[in-house]
Amino acid sequence: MATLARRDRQVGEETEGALLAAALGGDRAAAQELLLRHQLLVYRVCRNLLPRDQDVEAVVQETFLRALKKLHAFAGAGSFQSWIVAIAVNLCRDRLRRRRLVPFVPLETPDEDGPDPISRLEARSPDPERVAMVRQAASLVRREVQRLPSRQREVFTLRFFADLGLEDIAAALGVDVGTVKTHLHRAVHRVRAAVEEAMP
Amino acid sequence: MSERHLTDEELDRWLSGEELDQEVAEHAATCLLCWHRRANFLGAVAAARAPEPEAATLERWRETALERWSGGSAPRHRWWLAAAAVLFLVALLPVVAHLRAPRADLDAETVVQEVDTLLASDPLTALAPEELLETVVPAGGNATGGGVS
Repeated sequence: MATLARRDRQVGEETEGALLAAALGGDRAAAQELLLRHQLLVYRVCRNLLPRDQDVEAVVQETFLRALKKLHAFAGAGSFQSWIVAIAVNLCRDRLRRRRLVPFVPLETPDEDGPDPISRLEARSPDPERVAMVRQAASLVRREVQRLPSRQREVFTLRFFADLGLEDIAAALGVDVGTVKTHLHRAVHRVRAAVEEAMP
Repeated sequence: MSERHLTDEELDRWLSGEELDQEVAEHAATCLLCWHRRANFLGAVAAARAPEPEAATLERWRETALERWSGGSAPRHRWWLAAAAVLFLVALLPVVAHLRAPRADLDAETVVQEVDTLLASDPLTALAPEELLETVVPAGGNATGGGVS
């Protein structure tokens, strides 16, 4: 057991390149560490692009599996983070296309999935009027994001819900940074207008 | 420092994470109104984010994927490959057996003699089936009679 723990610590300290090489050779611990480092990002992308919980679970798992199976195809071209996000975005697109769905984000955040960001705000802020205003603005943000054209929605999601930089977004979507800026500008403009309507 | 507040365009660029012109950036860094607009947007977007998952949920999904990657699918694929190979070999057996069966060599002399014998006894039957000959030249009729009159 102590040996296993020591081995886990060693794997956790490896550089990404070393982990990739080890995972390519079939090292399960290295593959596990790779997924561990990027799982939250993959979850955020899928959770904010897909409307159904069961789709989120299926697509996150499929992203993990596909990334591991296609490691040889990655071969160090760009960052692994952008690559795995690209896989996740493509699988989300496939899922939406198959279901012929437009993304839908519920106006009220479900409580059962974890701590609600607005509840955290309520815990910090004693001003109920302010909290109500933020809650309304959040609903408008979700509604506006849902109404964005697909590419703008993807760019906005990767920037603000997955915290990726412009270059990482460009790499993940396979477009140049200028295209990302254009889509992001348009998306931010629409969403900001809705926020300022609710929170003048 | 400029007293002019950020335009919508400049604010959108700021929110998108792009660099601003120096003068605009200096204003944005100190202007409460511009900071307020930015904070309102970012606060609303943060509140709109989907909730984070339980650590156990992600762990379960990760382990399932790892299981499928490291052990689940590969042996099954090999089993199907082996089964397909066996079926292919079984289907191939009759063909191989037929190819390997000994074939008697034809003796050209014998064949020529048989043909000569046949032609000598009844040259017409060597050229056409007996039924056809029976129709054209009936056995009981005059074979040399000159045909239909």
